[in-house]
Amino acid sequence: MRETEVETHGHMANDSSDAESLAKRAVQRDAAAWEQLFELHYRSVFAFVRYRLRSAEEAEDIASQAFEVAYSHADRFNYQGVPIEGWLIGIARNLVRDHIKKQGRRGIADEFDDTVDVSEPDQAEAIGLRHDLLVAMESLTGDQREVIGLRFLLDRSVAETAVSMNRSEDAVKNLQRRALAAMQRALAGDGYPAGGAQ
Amino acid sequence: MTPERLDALLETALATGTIPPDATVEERAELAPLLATSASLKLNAARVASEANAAMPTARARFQRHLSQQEAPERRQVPAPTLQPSFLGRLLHGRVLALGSSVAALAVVAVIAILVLQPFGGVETASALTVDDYVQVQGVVSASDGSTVTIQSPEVGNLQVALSDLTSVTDDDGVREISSLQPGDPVLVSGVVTARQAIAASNVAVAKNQGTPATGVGEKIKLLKSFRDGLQGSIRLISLSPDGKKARVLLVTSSESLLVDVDARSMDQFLAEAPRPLGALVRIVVAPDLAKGVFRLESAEASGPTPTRPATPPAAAPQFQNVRGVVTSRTANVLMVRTERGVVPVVIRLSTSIRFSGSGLTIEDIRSGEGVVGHEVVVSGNQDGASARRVVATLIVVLEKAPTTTR
Repeated sequence: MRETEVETHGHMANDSSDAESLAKRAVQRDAAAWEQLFELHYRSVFAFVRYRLRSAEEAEDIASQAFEVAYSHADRFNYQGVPIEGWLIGIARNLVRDHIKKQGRRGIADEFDDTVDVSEPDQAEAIGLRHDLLVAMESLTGDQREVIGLRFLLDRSVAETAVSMNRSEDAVKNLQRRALAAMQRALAGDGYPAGGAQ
Repeated sequence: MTPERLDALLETALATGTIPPDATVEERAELAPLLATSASLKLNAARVASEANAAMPTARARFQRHLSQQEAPERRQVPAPTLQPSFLGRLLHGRVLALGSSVAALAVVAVIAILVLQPFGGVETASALTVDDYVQVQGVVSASDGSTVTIQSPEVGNLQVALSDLTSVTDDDGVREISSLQPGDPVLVSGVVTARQAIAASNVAVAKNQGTPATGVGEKIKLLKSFRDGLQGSIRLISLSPDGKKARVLLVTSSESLLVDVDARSMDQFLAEAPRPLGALVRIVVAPDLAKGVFRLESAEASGPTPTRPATPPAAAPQFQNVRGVVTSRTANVLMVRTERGVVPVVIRLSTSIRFSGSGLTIEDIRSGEGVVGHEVVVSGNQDGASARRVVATLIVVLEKAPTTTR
């Protein structure tokens, strides 16, 4: 996909002017434009967040917060052919980071915000494979995690991934192979960080 | 076997799902585990996509609410348009024009106010459902497509109920599959309102008997604004705001359906005493310390039957399971509640409505580290699919701390 296209779960704005027009309306806090952006990108933002948190409820909350923060900072978005989805995901990334820091600090103090299903045996099977993948992903470099996330979790093409990561398509292909190899080693037990294997 | 060739072979394999036939044995050995790893990732991506779809209705309603809250102040700040002075105005040096502009501006505001109010049907009628509120409502399934069911309630009309992997569905025999809901099933639904006439369900209780979808549904509902002496009826819906400060019930009398705003403390007290609130007979009471249009609830069960229009017979009414006891510990989102029948694990979901006002606690207390361990709680919910002992809570009323000597 060229850098001026906005790819969204099968709905692609082929005309770069559509994406630019939508971005401009979003900057002006046009509610209809933001509703459109929500429909286009919520699933991607949710998916990005979901792979960093352990419960769907937390992911739903953080992904929603990402849109609320984006709307309040709409005037800061500078459309220069950069997909707005990348900006939304950047906001989501910061929110996840803050959320994880907050969880680490608070312990059990925040009684009813703690909805992580760690003690629910019925969840264990459902998140089993995902948890393995999460642990394996922790052994990757930042770039490798990014390429895995974009290519396989958000189902982006090599070209789209290249735009998002500001790299050439060949570099993305090389990075994805090395990332998959690192994942595979981690899943096979060679690459788990100390204490991370289950 | 160069890195570039491996990159190209892998890309082809990822696109087609198979390793290209021209790959050598060494290249195949290199690529096969990578392809398997990518398949695992894609499988999980499909799971997450399904979770995202389930999250969309609630998240969409939340964002729409956010947009409308953000827009409202901005609208108020929009300056009134400057009118070009008319010939007459210029002739009168603008004095009459200033008055005329003010009148015109007031007229515009009045017209906008009328237009804004119009869709709500005036001051007499109101919607029973407010976006983001927690609700409990009863009805009969009239249509089902697996992930969404339509239920009909005689008072509220047709409601769309979104089901997801997070929806707990049970009947008297235990946990049921979501897809098992069929037209004719009498259901009690709890969840969060995502749009007018739509609910993202957290818990559904099903009665075994077959019901008949109501006819002539969706009548106009009036909001009770002034106290009426002797007003009593049967509760058909409860609605609780996310911050816990507002509560509302739909009360059905022999002649009308009324929405009644209820003082939060009174609501919590009522829920603690009548953990199966739908169908309960109540009396509306006024109190001097309450704001105008806000009332208290009192049980009217002791005063004998109240004439109300027929609802689902009590024997057929689907009900949530109820637990009353003292919280002995908490691990993550599971409370251990000591009851007369033993210890019951109670699972708290994000959609669980938790009421504090009868406990002496506030949400601020909870956030600052005050725990509910030692407090008495009244819980309603469904049996958990993983363990019959556990209850997935839809509503928890936290009461005062129990005496420490009990046991």
